[in-house]
Amino acid sequence: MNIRKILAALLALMMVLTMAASAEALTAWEEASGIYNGDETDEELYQKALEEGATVTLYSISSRCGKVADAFMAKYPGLECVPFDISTNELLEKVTREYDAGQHVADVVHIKDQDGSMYLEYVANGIFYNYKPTEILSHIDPSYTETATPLYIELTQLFYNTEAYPDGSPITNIWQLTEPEWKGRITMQNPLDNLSWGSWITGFCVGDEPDRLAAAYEELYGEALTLSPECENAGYEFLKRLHDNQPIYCASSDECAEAVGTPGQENPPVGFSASSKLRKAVDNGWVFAPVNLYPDTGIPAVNTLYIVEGCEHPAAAKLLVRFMMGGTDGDTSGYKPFNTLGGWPVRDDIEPAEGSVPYAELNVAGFDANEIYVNYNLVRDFWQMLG
Amino acid sequence: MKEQTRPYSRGRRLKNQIMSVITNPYNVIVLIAIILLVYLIVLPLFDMLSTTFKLAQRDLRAVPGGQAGEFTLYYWQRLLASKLSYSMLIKPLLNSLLIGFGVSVCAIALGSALAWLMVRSDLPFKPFFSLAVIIPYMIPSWVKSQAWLSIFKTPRIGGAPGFVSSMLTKMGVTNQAFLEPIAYGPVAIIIVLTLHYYAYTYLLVSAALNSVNSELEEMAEIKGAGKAMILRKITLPLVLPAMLSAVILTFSKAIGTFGTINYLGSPVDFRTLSSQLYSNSKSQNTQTAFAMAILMIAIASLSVFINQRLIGSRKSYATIGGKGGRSTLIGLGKWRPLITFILLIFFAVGIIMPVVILIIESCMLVEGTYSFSNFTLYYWIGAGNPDIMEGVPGIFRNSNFMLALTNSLKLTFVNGIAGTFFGQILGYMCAKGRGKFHGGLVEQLVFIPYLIPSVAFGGIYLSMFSKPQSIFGVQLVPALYGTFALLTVTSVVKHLPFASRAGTSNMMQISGELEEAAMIKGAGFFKRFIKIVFPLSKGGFISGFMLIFVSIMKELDLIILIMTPKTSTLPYLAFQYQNQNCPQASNCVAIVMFSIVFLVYALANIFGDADLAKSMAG
Repeated sequence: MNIRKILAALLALMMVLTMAASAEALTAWEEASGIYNGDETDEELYQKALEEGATVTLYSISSRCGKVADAFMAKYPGLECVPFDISTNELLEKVTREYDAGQHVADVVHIKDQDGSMYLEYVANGIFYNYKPTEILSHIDPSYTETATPLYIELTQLFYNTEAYPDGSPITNIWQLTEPEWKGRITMQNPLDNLSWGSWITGFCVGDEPDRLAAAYEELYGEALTLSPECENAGYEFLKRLHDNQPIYCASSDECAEAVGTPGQENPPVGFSASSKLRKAVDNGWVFAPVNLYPDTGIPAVNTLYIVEGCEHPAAAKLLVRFMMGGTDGDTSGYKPFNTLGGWPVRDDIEPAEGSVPYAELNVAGFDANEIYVNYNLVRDFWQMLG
Repeated sequence: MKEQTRPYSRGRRLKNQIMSVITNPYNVIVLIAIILLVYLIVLPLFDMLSTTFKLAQRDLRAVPGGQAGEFTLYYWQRLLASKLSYSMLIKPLLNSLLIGFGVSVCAIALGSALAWLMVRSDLPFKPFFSLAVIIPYMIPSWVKSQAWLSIFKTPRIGGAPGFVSSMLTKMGVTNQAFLEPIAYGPVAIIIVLTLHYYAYTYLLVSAALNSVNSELEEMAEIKGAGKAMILRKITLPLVLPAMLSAVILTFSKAIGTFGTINYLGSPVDFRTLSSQLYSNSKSQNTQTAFAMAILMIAIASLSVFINQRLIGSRKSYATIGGKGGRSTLIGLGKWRPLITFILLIFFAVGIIMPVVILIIESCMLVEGTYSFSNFTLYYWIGAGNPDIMEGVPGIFRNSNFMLALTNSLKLTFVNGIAGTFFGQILGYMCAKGRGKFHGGLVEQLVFIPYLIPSVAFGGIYLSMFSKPQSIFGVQLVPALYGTFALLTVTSVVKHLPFASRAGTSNMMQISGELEEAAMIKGAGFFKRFIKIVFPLSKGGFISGFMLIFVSIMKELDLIILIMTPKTSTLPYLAFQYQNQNCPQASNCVAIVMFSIVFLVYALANIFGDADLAKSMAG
């Protein structure tokens, strides 16, 4: 129906290739916005932002975007920041529909690239741009910035009830979850239910993760893992055995955390939940702690910022991205709302929240946007086949 | 056939026929309505359908050598004829049908019984009951699901056990496996959904019963018929159209719902077509989700078709005649105290309790701590304390809340009235065109939006109306992006099924004689509609309005795509508070929403009834 969209899609692969070369002629908007220029200073951008309309609209999957907007307006008087808190699915639907209709509403988008599709579909097709402020990126591990403008990292972690297990987690190796003792006693969300859980199970089946899982199995039981006929590698085998152990699906991540963390339970389950639930623990009186699972806790979920193609306030958008990433002048008030328990900064010059385990000490699988993207549907179908 | 002498020439006859069709405003309105419905409903549906045949870029990885946008059978083949079909489609479909039939049977029985008791019997405390009976529909179904869990939840799935389970544990019963099928799965889902959807039956059937002249029943009584026989042979057939309308609404809604199934089905991995649809949609498998939605629309269309057959094949019973009617109440006799007692318990447990729980929870400083020191009104009227809710003031001191309140009120009233008005006109067409092609067509068309998933519906409308709409270079509709008009169009069309169902069952009861009499007297179509049809259909108008009003008040998915960051509504605010881990404030917003709906309903009930009685008496 939309010729532009179809053409863009047809050219997708080609564009990925040419982007690497980056010798292409710039579009009018790329030229005018200077989207590839990461060297402007905050002050220059502030002045430009005031001239171009003095406003910027942020679509975000985090409720904390309201605080960011307030801090931004306090720091840059005269600029208005309009935050819109909306969940992943609706955000993508809204932003693509608006984009296709030529309604340039959102300037900046904050979302997670969990299955690699943000990069391989949106960035590659020139709908979203990864703005790269040089000075800030110098403080971030390049592996994160290859396919993203990263904001902070969240994890899917295993939690246990500290009241029932005062001596520490009853589980340390991920394969213990497949033992009969934990049958029907693991809470998680159904990986079929959304993109993040679907991507998370995919992470176990790609890259060097199957090898790490196989090694962990051997370490625990002293014998090599035998694969079932339908399982191509140790990752699939783990998923199959986890599924056979009848995990209890929760309606939401909050429910998973509550199931594990409610005090006074005689025989509480263990459960996977978003690490961000840690910051709710004190408020809700939950008694739980995350496990530093061996070999790892699966892939990380990297929160990422994008600037939308054709947006009318590119300078303000850049300024907002810089501000949210923690800025360059030592004032990190734009990043502060995100720096909480269960979220880890990507910058080496920003300390994680008080009480956080340093990210370097956590066992996390590698994230390769391409690998996840290519295998996502295969693994999701595999889980669907299991029942 | 025998050759007849024709006083007029063929040509003249044809000309007269055409003239009478064109000059009859009814025909013109039907034509306009069908064109509009095709544009507003068939086009989006076609858009969805064509999407399921177009290869998405994200599925290039699954289809080697494919190109994005090209024609493909990949999605349908995968859904209907692959090794995934059983777990992805067949099993969930059977579960959906189980829920659909279960809820329909229970809700129709419960709703009709309540409607009969409330309208026709001499039940005491009627004003109280008739207000209470509609509350369950106003409470979001997730609140009821949580209330259900807080009673029946078992320790197996972790968290705090439910009330029953903790009692059993105190009594020393450790094996509580028998509680599982009650706590989760189909039985629990059917009960909770029944408590939600019986309101459709209640509203439609009670409106129909209200217009039944009790002389009909009395005549039968004089002839010696027993109460059961009168009910079976007279009352029931008269309200059958309303009941069948309710069956369709209930059945389709029950197979389309997601929240309750997610809450009560997930722990035992009970999935329906609607949960599959949501999962696929949230996993960005838009095409598969659309294909599932289309299958659900097909199932629902089938039920509408069957309904048309059922009503079409029997005689029509017009109950609103020209004569004044009386309504004599039927004595419940010795059953009266028992029925009253059962109803009181039912309302206390099923209706008052969830509301009370909601109110208590909105006044708890920390969730789950039941002590007096934990009581607070901060979330209602707090001035902004940095230690609570990250410094956001209570809702009544929050400018965002006031903005959302204004927006919501505007949206619900404008759309409720507009939707009901169009619904009644369409209902009139369905009723008058019954058995004819145009009646059947309108009835089917109007029903489609009901089952298009809200997010998809909103998305398609956003695309359609973001650009000016023109035909042959003539601009018909300007770009509506970000306007209130777009919100109105979307919500009205999405809720037409409610309004037109209410309209149809209502209009079917109005005897054609009344209009014919006016026509003989020379009254035109508009005059007849305004002076006769509309006044007589007030009861149905009000129930139609309530159905839409409540539904739009709760709507989030549909309008979240269409609203701009500055036009937030109450459900959006509740969603935001929930996201900010502040369920108390979210509960406050839910209570405000509930109060508005309740107030409007109470007013409609009081003034609506008074008016209705007056117009009937005259």
